[in-house]
Amino acid sequence: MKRKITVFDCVNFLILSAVLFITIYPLWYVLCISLSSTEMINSGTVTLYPKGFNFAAYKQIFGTSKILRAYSNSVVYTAIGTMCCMAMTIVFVYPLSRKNFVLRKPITVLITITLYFTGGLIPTFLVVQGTGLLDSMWSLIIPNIIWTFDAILLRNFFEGVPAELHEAAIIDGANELKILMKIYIPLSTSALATIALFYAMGQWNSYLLPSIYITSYEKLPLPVILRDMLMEDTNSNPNSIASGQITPEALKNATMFVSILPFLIFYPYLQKYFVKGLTMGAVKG
Amino acid sequence: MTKCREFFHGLRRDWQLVLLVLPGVIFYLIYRYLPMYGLIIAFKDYGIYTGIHGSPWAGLKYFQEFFSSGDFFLLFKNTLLIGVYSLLWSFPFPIILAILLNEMRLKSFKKLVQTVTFLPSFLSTVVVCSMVIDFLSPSTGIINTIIKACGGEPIYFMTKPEWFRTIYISSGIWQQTGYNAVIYLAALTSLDASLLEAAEIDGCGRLKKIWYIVLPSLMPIITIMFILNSGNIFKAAQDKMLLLYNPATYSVSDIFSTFTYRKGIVENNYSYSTAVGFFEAMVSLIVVTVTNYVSKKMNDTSLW
Repeated sequence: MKRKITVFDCVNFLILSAVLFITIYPLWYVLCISLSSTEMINSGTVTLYPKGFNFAAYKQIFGTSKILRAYSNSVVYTAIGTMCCMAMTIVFVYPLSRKNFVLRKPITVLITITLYFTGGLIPTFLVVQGTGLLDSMWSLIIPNIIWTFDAILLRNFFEGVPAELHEAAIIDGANELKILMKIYIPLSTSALATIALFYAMGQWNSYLLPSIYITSYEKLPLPVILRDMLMEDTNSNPNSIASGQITPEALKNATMFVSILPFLIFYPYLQKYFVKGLTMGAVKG
Repeated sequence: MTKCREFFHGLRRDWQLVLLVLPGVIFYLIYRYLPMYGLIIAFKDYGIYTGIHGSPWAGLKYFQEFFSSGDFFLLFKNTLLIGVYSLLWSFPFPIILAILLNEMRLKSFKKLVQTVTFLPSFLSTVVVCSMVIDFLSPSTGIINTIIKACGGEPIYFMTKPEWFRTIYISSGIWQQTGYNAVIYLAALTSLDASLLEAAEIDGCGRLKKIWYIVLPSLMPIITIMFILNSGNIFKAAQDKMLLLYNPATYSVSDIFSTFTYRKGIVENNYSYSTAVGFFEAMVSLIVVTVTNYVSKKMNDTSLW
């Protein structure tokens, strides 16, 4: 049935177009600034498209070891972190999804408490320090290797795997690890992909923990370098702008753009997993 | 006694599972429970060289110091106000977006808007805050360019306490609306089509349909989301705040978590910082427990 287009439809279209513009524009603006010349940026005339078009900022990124090194650090931390986290989470959650597992109740209580109460910044820092992880990549991975909320989601998902499959495997003489590898993991690839994505995004974006735990400059991941660029003029006072010490706007915006680029490239393919993760959380098992 | 025997019998029976779960349990004990034990430094004069056990007890000294200082009232007020305003201002947007998307007849356009608005929630806090600061920059920022074009004086937004909450909350709305709308969109897919059809036959307009059918059918999920979100009132985002605030706006932007960061990480006053953090954790625990209780009472939905 074809209904005619009403005033409501037009207004709705206009509102959503405005929403679309407001969402896209800041990102577009970052790209424009990164491609504009310094004079044009400082004159404040860059608004809708790059002016004084050039790639100087990007050349500078790939010419300076500082940003490139931070970039590769981020890639390494995210890749290794995500793999470790997934392995830990899967292995940890599988026994909890088994209804008659003897420790199911106590461990569920143990992990649920941590959702509501934590030791806080300094005590956690002291433990990380005490376990000798400070200033190493592992300080960003091990202290948060299991995300409780995602673990509970995955447990709920695992509980949905039919018990008959499990029984059949036992009769065939499979051990628990084998059942996990051959039945549970293949059956939950989409849920696992979702959790891995959320974890990878979290690791890629985190700046606060690395800035606390990592002390050597050459081990810092990209977000911390970005934060430092940002902090140089965060007070936005006129003096700091005149000092000439700050990172050129173009370079800063180019770094920002490069940092979100991998995500932007994969986003269209990954979006359905993100959405799935959200609705997976909404439907409580 | 038999219970005990049963337990050990179970352990023997499930030894493979116990083995699998063990690394995770060790992780929780070390990195989640040991820090809780570490909270005792709030009651001690922690020194870097004396350690947790060697440091002398200080009793409630740091709590007294905190409560009697002017900081306490300010932090409490700022944390609460940021939380409440964020909740009240940001809450309606995802619902409106979801309804508008649901009414959109051009399916491809709907998909485009949904995809795009969903994206910002995955940008890092650093990038979002960078963009906010760039946009509001008094010399080159687009907002001030517009103000200047209209003949106004540029505003130093980031140093003005009266602008701080607006900036913090509106950037949050920009970032999170699409993400939060997903829940409502999912709820809207199960909307009873026969109700809408009946309304249409009765000559009901689009706005009326939204008001009398769509909104009421979303009401249960709206209530749940509102209650769940109020549980987070005390948990304003520490990382975002640390990037956006500066001494000029401390009067509205300094909250418990930024204060513990400054005291602990910047000034190395571990015991004081932990005492403040402990207090904050207790308050937010109470808030979550209360909201969870309310949610349970109202519609059998709870976190536990």
